[in-house]
Amino acid sequence: MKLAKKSLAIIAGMACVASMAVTGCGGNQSAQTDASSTPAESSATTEESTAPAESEATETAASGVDLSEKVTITWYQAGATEPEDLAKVEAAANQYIAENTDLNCELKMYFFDFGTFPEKMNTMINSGEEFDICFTCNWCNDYTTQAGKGAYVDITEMLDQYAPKTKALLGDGFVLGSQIGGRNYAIPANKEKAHQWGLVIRKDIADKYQMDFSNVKTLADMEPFFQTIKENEPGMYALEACEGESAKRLLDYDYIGSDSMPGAVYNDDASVVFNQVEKPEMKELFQLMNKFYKAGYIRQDAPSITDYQVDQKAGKIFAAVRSLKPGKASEEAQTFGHDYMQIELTAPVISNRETTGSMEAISSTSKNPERALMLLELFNTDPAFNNLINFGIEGEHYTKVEGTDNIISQGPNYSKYSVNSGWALGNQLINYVWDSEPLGAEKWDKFEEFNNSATNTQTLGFIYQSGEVQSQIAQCTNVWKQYMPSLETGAVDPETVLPEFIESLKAAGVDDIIADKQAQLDAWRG
Amino acid sequence: MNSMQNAIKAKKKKKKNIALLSMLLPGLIVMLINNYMPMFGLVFAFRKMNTVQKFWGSGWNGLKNFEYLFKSNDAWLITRNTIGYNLVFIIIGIIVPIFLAICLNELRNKKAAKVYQSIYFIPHFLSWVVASYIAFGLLSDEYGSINGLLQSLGFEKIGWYTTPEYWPIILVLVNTWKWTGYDTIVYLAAVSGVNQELFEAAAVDGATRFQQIVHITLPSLIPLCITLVLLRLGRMFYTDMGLFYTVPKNSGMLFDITNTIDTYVYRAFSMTGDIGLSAAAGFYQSVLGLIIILGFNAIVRKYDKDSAII
Repeated sequence: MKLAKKSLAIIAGMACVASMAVTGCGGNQSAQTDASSTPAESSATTEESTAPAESEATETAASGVDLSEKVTITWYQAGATEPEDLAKVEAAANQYIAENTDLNCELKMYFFDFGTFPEKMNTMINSGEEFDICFTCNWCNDYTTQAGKGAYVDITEMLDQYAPKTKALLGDGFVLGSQIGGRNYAIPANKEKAHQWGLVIRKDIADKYQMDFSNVKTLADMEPFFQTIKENEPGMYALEACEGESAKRLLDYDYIGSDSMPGAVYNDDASVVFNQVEKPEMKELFQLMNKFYKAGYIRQDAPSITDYQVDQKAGKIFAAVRSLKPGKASEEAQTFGHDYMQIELTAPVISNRETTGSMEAISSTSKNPERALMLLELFNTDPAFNNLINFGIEGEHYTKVEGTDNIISQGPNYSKYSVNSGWALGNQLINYVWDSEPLGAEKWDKFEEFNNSATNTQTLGFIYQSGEVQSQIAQCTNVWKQYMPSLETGAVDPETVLPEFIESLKAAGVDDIIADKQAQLDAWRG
Repeated sequence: MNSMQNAIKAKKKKKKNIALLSMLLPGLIVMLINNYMPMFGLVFAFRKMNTVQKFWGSGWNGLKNFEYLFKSNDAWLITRNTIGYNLVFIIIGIIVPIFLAICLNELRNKKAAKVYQSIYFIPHFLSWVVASYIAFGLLSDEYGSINGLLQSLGFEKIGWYTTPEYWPIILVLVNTWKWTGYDTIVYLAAVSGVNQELFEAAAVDGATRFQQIVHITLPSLIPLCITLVLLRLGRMFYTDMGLFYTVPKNSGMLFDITNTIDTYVYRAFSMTGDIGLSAAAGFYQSVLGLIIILGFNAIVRKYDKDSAII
């Protein structure tokens, strides 16, 4: 006991001395250098370090590529856990590359689920491990962060030489929209290019009560139907609402930076950055949600629910707000196992959310960035190769429906290779379509139509950097998390809570954030 | 002559202890790596850390990283919650485990005592995620056993995760459930280590079992008690993320009651990812912890020099 006490004393003493030494030292130096570090200096250092390192690849690109040496291209992809038959499909892919192209390379793919992928990539990138291609986007393995570190090759010029067809395919909107500071560091997947908010609704239930949604233009118009559900379907929630996944998204602001932070502009007018929480339409929405909540259309513990999939899988959700695209309802049906229909409520819009929503980047550790890009070009433009990676081997993992050339049904070994993430893999518009999808062969035409009907937001291509107001953002995050879930799910009365929320945000420095966003946006707009 | 003999003795002693001292080495190395090397990270608290590329950040930032902790309205609230809960935990952490340790010690049936002891100890091995789901099983709005019970008794069900009023009690209960077993074992070891002769002498003098506990067992637990309290006071400004974040399921409506310095900081960084801010918060917590630990130690030393650790 005594010995223990003595050693404790020593430890405590050492800890005390060491921490004091560090404190003293840190304090002094900070005071000294504080005066000398001018804003100009610090902004210079930020600029220097945020502009991703120009890679050597750009220089060698012009000199043409020597394809005589056989190389291996490694590709890390998110979306599915590693399929059992991956090796088989890889062998088939390599055979295809050897027979049909002069790329002279071997493809090695690794699949990870979205949960483990960002961590995996972070470790690989930070430790400088060598690989060639990886999936990156604004919500998983963050594109701006990684590109900012210099993890990806600058492919702005390389695109013209090695992937001209891909560039043409994507169109200017996407090529420019995925740039950081005027440079491209990744290739967006060619898929639906816009988002459009609306409702997915249980079709079987709607049919049961012969509901007619033809006059539904806003969420408020759904009220009589919700009433019917409330009265006749005990155990079912008329409207899904939980943190983040709520009807708030129907307002469809163009958020500057994060969705869950004040600071947005209108899609068609980006001149003034405002705090969306103070907008009258936001208050109206909260009031409507509160009315629905009180009427019992919404789960009573909604503000504490974060995982909506459980209820939807259990078939307890009648209507839910979703980002829609052609065939969304049948996608939902495949995932959750019920019959769905969709109602569009907002106009389709192309925003930063989509342009950087699903991409492939080339690693700056890659020994053969040109070859990797050429492989991606092949992948994006060659239906046979693309579908091989997406759906596996014909006759084994899928079979073509007789009389068609792009409708497929599940093959005998479907479960051994079911990647099902075409939206993340290259060019969805050249993908096969499952026979269970009602849009059938027209699916990709509808996508094209949808893409063409969308308008660009005015901030397309602008990326906000929050460095200067970090501490205000840190404070606002807490305020947001405290008030927003209960307001957006309708659990509290906005008459009393909303002013409190706005007041707390102001105290947390929201005005600085808005001003900073405005200044950066103004500078970008020129 | 005498001094020379002493010197030789000391030399011999030193030699003898080398083996023992070398056994200390692995522990010291681990501590050096885990506890001392990260201390250089305290520098981050004063640096501008908005780039990933530069390990040491870019430029000094003065005390700006600390601003957000004190500028917000929540500063008072999170400090109050942190200190308040910790005080309650410390007090309960003394009373309940000592009571249980004495009870276990008094049990005649030692086999039963072992069983109880294990039962108390089990929660300590469950992770907070498991604990949070056990709590959720009890408190869930729809399927929770407590709401089920309330409804079958004809009461209205309670939205536990949306009503802050109940949470001080829930948090204290959960924390007690989790830690009591561990503390009980520590105290039990001390209780059974008390010299049996004292009890025998007291019994001869006609002391009852209760008198023996009050006059022999409790006083002999005081040094251990003080050491444990001292250690805990050092962590006065820290809270368990598992208890305050996972168990209330990060529910925004409970923030007034469940937000502590750690959860506040965590939420802020999951958004900004700014190491400077988090280093500043950690720095603030350790400095306050150090002050408290030294203060309490000074008081202890004044009254009972042997129980103080410095």
